[in-house]
Amino acid sequence: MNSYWLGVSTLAGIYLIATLGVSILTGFTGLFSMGHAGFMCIGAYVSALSTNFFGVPFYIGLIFGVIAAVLVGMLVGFSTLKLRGDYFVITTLALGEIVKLVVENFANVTGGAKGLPDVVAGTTFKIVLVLDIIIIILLVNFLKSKHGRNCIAIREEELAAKVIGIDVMKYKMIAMSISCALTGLSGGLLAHYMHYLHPVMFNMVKSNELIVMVILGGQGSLIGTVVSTIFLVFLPEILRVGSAQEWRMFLYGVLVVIVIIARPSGLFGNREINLKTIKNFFKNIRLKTLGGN
Amino acid sequence: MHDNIILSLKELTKQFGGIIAVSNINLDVEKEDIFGVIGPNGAGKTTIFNLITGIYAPTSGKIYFNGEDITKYKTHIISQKGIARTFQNIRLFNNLSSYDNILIACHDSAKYDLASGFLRTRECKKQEKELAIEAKRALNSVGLLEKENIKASSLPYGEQRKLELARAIATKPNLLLLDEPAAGMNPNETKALMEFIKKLNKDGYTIAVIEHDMKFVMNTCNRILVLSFGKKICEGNPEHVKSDKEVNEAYFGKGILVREAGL
Repeated sequence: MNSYWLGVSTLAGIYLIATLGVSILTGFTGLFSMGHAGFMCIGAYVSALSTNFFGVPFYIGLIFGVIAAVLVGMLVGFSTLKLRGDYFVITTLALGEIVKLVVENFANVTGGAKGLPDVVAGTTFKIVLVLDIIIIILLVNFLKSKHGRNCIAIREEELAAKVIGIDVMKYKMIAMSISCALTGLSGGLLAHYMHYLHPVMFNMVKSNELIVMVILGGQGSLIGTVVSTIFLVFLPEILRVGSAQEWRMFLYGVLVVIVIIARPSGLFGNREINLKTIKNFFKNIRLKTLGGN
Repeated sequence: MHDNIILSLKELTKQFGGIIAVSNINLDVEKEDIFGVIGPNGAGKTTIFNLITGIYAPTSGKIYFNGEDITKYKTHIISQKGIARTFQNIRLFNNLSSYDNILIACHDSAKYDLASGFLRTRECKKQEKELAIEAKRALNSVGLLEKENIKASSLPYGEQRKLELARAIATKPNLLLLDEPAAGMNPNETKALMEFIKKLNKDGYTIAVIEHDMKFVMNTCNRILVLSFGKKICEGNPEHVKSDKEVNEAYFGKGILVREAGL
């Protein structure tokens, strides 16, 4: 693998952490956030600034970034999750913009619109890969536990969830915290990978990309999120050949639209791939080829 | 307060702007009773259920459950105290299997924390196994075990009602509030439901039921509350309610006595 594709893979791994976070919030708990790039931004700048100014090692910086993103996320969640769904969308949309504007206007700390150069290096493909695997295992466990199922129940029918005794507010906060921690971590990794930060990296387009990746993979499917993230990060790079070069962003959009038209509930719907589904798959094939024997 | 009163409403009132949906209702439901709530459309029956389960906050008045004031409690706390309900328009977790619908309702018996959930500790696995057994037993009790893997929204209407009822029972309540459980059922299904409710009652559940099907109410309920425009117009046993003049007026209008109409 040459360094170019290694770079694209690292980026895909970094974005995967963020989309897994958004997947927990949007895909599994049913809360739409249009501003999660804001939490990436918080994670990225807190991590970069703490390593640059206080000289802490980059993994400590990452932890600071995660803590900052979670704190802001809980503050936003606490004040808005009691409201109906649409208000939550609007608040997160606003938050994404506010974070960007704060970064732009505190130029003497953050570098403002000129960007923040010379961020300490640290993120490597190996680190990202290991983190991805650990996070996926933890999230699969979470979703198999009663806590994960409570979140899914809230997505399905909030009132019924309340009536059978689920503390809806608590579980929305848990989902919010998980998603903010992961997007914050992703932002921090991005900072230490790019060695350079700029507020435009975390604008609304980025938030939309995160949501698109989750919806395209299928709400309620972790494997769907993984596949669609890798697909969507690689796609514009694959299209970077010959005359497709000029049209690549256009083609990217067209392909996304085609997938959404062909599979309205996402690539994977709410299915997961695990040993059981693979077994069933082969069983079905065997039944078909052997004619029901 | 008597020891055998499970639910007690004291001067309960709910206003929506200028409309008084429930007006000054006093009511005692005895333990292990089947209590019926009837009344014309818009009488405030479902509103009372919503007040009891904390979905609405009352404008004034108090609600006591087993002697404890639950007026200000949140919905999930009230559920944990032991009140379960079903909805007039069925509210299932539509994209989940019947099994998962019940499993989620059993969650209160698993006590492991968030961290053990993430790490899937031995304790977590053990409690999950116990939950699974409990959920299967609950599904079996309503005869839906062979449909455990079917999505709730794909079940036929009658079975969706059954599943919602099973989900309510799975929370191990003392008091079961049923909002029009027989709506949309054919006579045979209604009859089966009546038997099932009587059996639940024998097993020790106290049941309060809103229903439009008069045969159903008169045959299953021991006591009946009649509401009209948010006010209590009558309370008593089926015979008393049938012969009450005001009840007949609320249903059929003033001046005519239509006791033969099947009331």
